[in-house]
Amino acid sequence: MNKIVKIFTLSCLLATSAVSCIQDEAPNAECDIITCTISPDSILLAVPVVENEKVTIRIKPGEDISNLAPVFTITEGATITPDNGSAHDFLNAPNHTVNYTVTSEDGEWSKVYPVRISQKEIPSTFSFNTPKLDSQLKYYEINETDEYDEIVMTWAAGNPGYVISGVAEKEAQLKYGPNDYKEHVWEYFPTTPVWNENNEVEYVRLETKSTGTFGKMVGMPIAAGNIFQGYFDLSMAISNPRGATKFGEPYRYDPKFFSGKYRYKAGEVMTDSKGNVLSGEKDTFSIYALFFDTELDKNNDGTIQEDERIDYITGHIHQQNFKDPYLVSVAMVEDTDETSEWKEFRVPFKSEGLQVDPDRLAKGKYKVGIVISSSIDGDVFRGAVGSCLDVKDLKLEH
Amino acid sequence: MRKYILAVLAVAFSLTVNAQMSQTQKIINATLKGWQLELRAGYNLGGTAPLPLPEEIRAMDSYSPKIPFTIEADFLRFFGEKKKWGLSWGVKLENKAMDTKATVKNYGMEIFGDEGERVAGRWTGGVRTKVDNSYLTFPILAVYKVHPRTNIRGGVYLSYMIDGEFSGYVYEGYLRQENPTGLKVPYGDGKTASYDFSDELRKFQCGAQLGVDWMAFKHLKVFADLTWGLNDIFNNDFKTITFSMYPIYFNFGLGYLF
Repeated sequence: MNKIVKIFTLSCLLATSAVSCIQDEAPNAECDIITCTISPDSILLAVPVVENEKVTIRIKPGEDISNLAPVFTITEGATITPDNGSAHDFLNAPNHTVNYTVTSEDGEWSKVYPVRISQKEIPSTFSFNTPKLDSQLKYYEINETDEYDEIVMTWAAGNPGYVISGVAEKEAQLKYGPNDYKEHVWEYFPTTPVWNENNEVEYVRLETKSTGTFGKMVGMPIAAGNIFQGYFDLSMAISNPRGATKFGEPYRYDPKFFSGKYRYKAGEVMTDSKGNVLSGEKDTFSIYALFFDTELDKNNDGTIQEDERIDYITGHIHQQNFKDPYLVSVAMVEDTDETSEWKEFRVPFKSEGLQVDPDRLAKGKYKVGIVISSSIDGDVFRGAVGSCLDVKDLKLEH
Repeated sequence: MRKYILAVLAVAFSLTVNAQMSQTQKIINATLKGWQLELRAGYNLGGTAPLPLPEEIRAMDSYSPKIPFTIEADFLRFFGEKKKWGLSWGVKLENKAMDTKATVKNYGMEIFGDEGERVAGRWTGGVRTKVDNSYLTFPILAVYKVHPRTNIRGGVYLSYMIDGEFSGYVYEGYLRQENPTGLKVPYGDGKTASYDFSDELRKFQCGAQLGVDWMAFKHLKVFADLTWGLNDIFNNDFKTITFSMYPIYFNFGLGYLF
C-alpha cells in the first residue's frame, strides 16, 4: 500500500506540474518614484518627501533653485520623463513645480508626479486655509498657503490609511446612493475641513471613526481623527502604526507658547484594540507640540555621525511618556474637558533638558511637531467612535 | 463530514473481513440481477487550481492535501459475449481539500467586509488558500477490460456540494489600492487580511473521470482515478477571482467486489 501511495503521489505531482507550470513573469505594472535625492544634499532643509503621487523637496532659503537636478529611483523597468537627473529651473516654474511622468515597464500604467520645491519657512500661525482633494478625490489634504498662494506647509493626517478600510466609501454610498456618492466620500474621513458661509475654512474636524471589518482584522478597529506637522508614512501604517506618524517640520525659532481653540465631545462607547467595550471609561483628546533637535552628539566625539541624526520623532513618543533624547521642549494641553463652546488654550513649551544652540537654530537643525488627535490613545487604537474634536486658530509664539 | 466518512469506511472494511461474507455475497448478488456491487474507499489527492496557472502566480510555497477521504458504491455490469465492455454507475461521498501557500504578483482582488465595505486592488505577496468541499458525486463510466484482472474506466460525473469552504488570507506583501498606480499599503509583521468565499461556491459540479483498477486478490481491487472538474468551482456571477478554478484530484484506494 505504501508503495502504491508513493507511486500515485509521484504520478500526481508529475501530472500537476505538467499542467500547471509557473508562467514567465509579467513585466512590472507599477510606476512609482521610490526615492528622490538632490546633490549637494547640504542645500536640503529636510529629506525629500515622496508620496504616492507627488514629491516635495524643501530647500534652504537663499539657495539657488534655478538649476536643480533631482535624481529619482523608480520601479524596476519603469521609465521617467523628463530624464532622470536632468536639470530644471524650479525658480521660474509655475508653483516651483516640474511634472514628471513615470510609465510602467508593461506600458499600461503611468503616473504624473508634481515635484515641488519649497523654499518657504513653515508659518507660525495656522489657518488650514487651502484644503485639496487627493488625486483619487477621496479625502482632503489640508495645506497652509501664504499671501502669494504658495503652499508653505501640508498637514499630515492618517486619512490615506483610512482609504484602505473602505468604510468612507460604503458610508457615502449608503447616504447618497450609488450615483452621487463619489463627491461625498471625503465627508466620512476622520480628518476633514469645515467651511464657513464665505467658503473659507473655519476649522478642522477630527472624529474617531470605525475602520470596519478590515481594520478589525489588523487589530485597528478605530481610526482617531488626527492632524500633525510631519509625514504620514503609509508604508508602515499596518505593520508599525505608531512609527507611521512622523512628526517634525524644520523651524528656525525657539517656541515659547502654543495656543489655539478647541471644542470637544467624547464618543459614547470606549473600545480597545480588539474592539472590546471598556465600560466606565471615557474618551479624551490630545493636543501637544514637540520641539526637538535633529542632531545629537551622543558619543561625544565632537562630530555628528549619520546615526546621530533624526528626521522625525514618531508616534512612539506618546507611549514613551514624552521622553526622547532629542526633545528640547514640549507644550501640552492638559485641561481636556468636554466643551460645546470654543475654548482657548495657551500652553508653555516646557524644557526637557536640551539647550537650544542659536547658530544651529538659524541653520534649521531644529524641528517642531504639532500633534492633535480626537482620541488620546488612538495610537494604540483605544477610543470611542464618535469622539469629535474641532480645532482652529493654532499658533506658535516665539 | 469527515467523521461520517470515516465511520462508513470502518463499516465497509469490517464487512470485508466478515466471516459471514460468502453468505452476504450470495444475498447481494441475487438482489442485483446481474449487476456486480463494488465498494470503494479511497483518498483524494490534488488541488483546486486555475488552469493554466495565471502569470500572477509566481511560486507555490507550500501544499498540504489534508485528509480528504472518499467512499463509493458502484454497480458494474459487463455486456456482450466476450464481456469486454461494461457500464458502471454509482454514488460517491467525497472530500476535495487542499491547503496551499502561494506567492503572487499584481493579483487582482476585491474583498467585501461584513459591513459591506469594499476593498479592491492588486496584491503582491503571499496568499494562503484553504479548500475543503464535501460532495455527493454520481459517476457514470464506460468500463473496458484490458486484462482479466484489469479494467480501464472513463466517463463523466455530476457532483452536488453538501458543504464547502474556500477561505484564506493574504500575508507578507502589499496592496495597491484599486490599480497598480494606487496607494501602496504593505502588510507585514504578521498582519493578515482574510477572505472567505465559501458562500460563492457552486452547488453542482460536473467533470470527467478516467482511471484504472486492478484485481489484486479474489475480491480486493486497487484503483486510481483522475477526476477533472469541467466548470469553475465558483458561481458564474462571482467576479472577485478573475480566473476560473477547477478541482483536479487523483482518487485512489481499495475496492471490494462482491
